[in-house]
Amino acid sequence: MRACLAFFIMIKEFRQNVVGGKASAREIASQYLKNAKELNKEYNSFVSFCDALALESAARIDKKVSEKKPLGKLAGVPIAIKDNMLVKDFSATAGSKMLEHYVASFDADAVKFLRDEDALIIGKTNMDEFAMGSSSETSHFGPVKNNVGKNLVPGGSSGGSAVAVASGQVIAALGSDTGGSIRQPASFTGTVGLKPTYGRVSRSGLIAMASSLDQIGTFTTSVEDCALLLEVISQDTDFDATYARKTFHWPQLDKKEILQAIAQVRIGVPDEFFGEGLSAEIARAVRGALEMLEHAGAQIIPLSLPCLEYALACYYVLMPAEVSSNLARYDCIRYSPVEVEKMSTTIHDYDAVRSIGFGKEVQRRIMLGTYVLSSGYVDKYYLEAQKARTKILQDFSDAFLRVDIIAGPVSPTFPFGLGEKINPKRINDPVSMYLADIYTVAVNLAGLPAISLPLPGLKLPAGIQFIAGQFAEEQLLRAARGYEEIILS
Amino acid sequence: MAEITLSEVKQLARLSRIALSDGELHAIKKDLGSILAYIDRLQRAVLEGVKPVSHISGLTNEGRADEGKATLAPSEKMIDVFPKKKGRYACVPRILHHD
Repeated sequence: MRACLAFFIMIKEFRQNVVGGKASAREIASQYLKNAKELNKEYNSFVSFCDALALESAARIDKKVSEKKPLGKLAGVPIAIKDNMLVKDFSATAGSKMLEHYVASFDADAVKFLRDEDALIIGKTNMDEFAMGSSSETSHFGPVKNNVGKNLVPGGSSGGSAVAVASGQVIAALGSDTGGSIRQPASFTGTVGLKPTYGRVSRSGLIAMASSLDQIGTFTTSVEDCALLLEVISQDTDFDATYARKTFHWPQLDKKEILQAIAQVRIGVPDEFFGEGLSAEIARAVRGALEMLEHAGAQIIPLSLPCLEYALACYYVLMPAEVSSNLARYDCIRYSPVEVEKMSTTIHDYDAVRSIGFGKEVQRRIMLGTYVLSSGYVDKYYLEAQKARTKILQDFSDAFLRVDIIAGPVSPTFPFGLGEKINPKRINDPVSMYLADIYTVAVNLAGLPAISLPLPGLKLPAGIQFIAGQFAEEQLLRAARGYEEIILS
Repeated sequence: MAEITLSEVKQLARLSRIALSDGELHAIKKDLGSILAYIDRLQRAVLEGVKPVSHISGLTNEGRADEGKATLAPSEKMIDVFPKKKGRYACVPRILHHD
C-alpha cells in the first residue's frame, strides 16, 4: 500500500512516447481501457467507458504521427471525466437514476479542450449523486471503493476520478468541487487535487449543483501535470457568462527557481484549522510539513480566520438554496428515469417521478433549499448567509494582504469506513457527513483556488491544503511545486 | 430557533415536487431539524451593517453583437433527449383537468 503517490510527472512522458513513436496511441488506448475495466470490478470507480471515442481519437493521433503533423499538448494521455460533465454522444448520469438514460448532445467546454489537445477520454467516473456527498456512496450505481483499502471510502463527491488516478486506471482526471469535492477525495487517495478560482474554468456542460460555488478542476499525480491540465481547460469560451476570460499560463521552472520561490513565500496558518475534531496525527503531519518549509526559508505566519467557525453553516444555507433551484429542471419533460410509456400525463406524476429519480440526500437538500428560500425564512437564513459570505470574502482578502498562501489540513480525518456515515439500516445524522468538508467549503464561498497535496509518512492517505487569492493559481502552484521538491522528493 | 413541524415538511415536499410517504416525511423532518440546528452557528457571525454578496469574482456585464452563431448542438439532438415526444414537440404533463 502506498499512502503517498505524488510526484510522478506523467503527461509529458506519455506525449513524448507518442510523438517519438515509442508507443502508439492505439496501444495506449486499448491497454488503458482493458486495465481500467478490469480494476473497475474492484473499485466501481467508473460508471461507463468511452471505447469508441478513445479508439477514434487514438487512430487520429497515430495518423498525425505518421504524417508528422503537430500533436496536441495531451497527445495519447488517458484521462477520465467525472460523470457530471458532458461528453458528446455518451451518457452523463451525474450518479443519478434521474439521468440513467440521458445521452449528452454536446461536449462540456473542458472536455472539448482536452479533446482538441488529443487527450484519450477513457470513461466517465462514478460520483455522489449530483455531486452531493463526501464519500461517493450516494451514487445510484453503487459506492466507489478506495484503492488503499476496499472497506474505505475514497471521499467525494469526485471519488471515482480520485480512485481512477490513484489506482493508475488513467493518468489524470477531471472532477468538480462545490464544497471540497476534489480536494477531499484527493486527500483520501493521496493524489494532487486542484480546485481553481471560481470563473477560471468554463462550467458549460457541467451538470449544475450550486452555480455560484461549482468549479471544474483536476486530479493528477504531480503539480506539473496539474498545471499543464489547467492551461488546457482554462481556455476561452462564449458559453459561460461567469467565465472570467483568464486563461492560465504556467512558466516552466527549474529546481533552483522552485526552491528560490519557496524561500520567499509567506504561509499563513489559521488557528481555526486546528480545532476540535481534527485527527491528532493529521495535525502533526501538517505542522511537520510546514516546519520543513520553514527550514527551506518560507515564512510561517500564525493567522486567525474567525469566519471558518461559521463557513460550513453558511454553505449549508446557500448550497441547498441553489440546488433546489437548479434541480427544478428535472421535470420529467426533458429528463426522465422511468420508461416514458409508463408515465401517465398528470402533474402528480411529476412528484412521483422525482421521488423515484432522486436519492435521499438529493431530496433532503432540495427540501432544505426550498425551506431557506421560502417566504418567512428567506431573510432569516438566505439573506443572513449572503451577508456571512461577504464576511468570509473579507476575512480572506484581509489575510492575503499579509500572506501569499494559507495552509492547513484538507479533511479532519483519514478515509472513513464504507457505511460508517451512510447506512440504510442505521439512523444517521447527515451533519456528521457534512463535517467532512469543514476545512474546504470556505474556499468555495470565497471563490478561491486551492490544492490538496499528499502528506508523507502516514498509515493512510491525507492531504495538506494550500489556498491562494482569486486568480493566483500561479503563486499557488509555485508553492505546491516547492512542497513537492522539499517534502515529497 | 423554532423546530420544523411536520406540516411544514409536508408543505416543503409539495413545493419541492417530491412525493414522500409518511415514514419518509418523519425521517426528513428529523434530518432537517438536525441540519437547521447546525445552521444556527450562523448567529456566531457579527453581520450588522454587512451587505449581502451576490457575485464573488467581481465580473461585470458585457455586451456582444446580436449575431446568429452555430448553436451547441443541432436541435434534433436536443429533441432526441426528451423522454416523450411527438415529432419536434416534447410531451408535458397535463396541469388542467376537465372532469
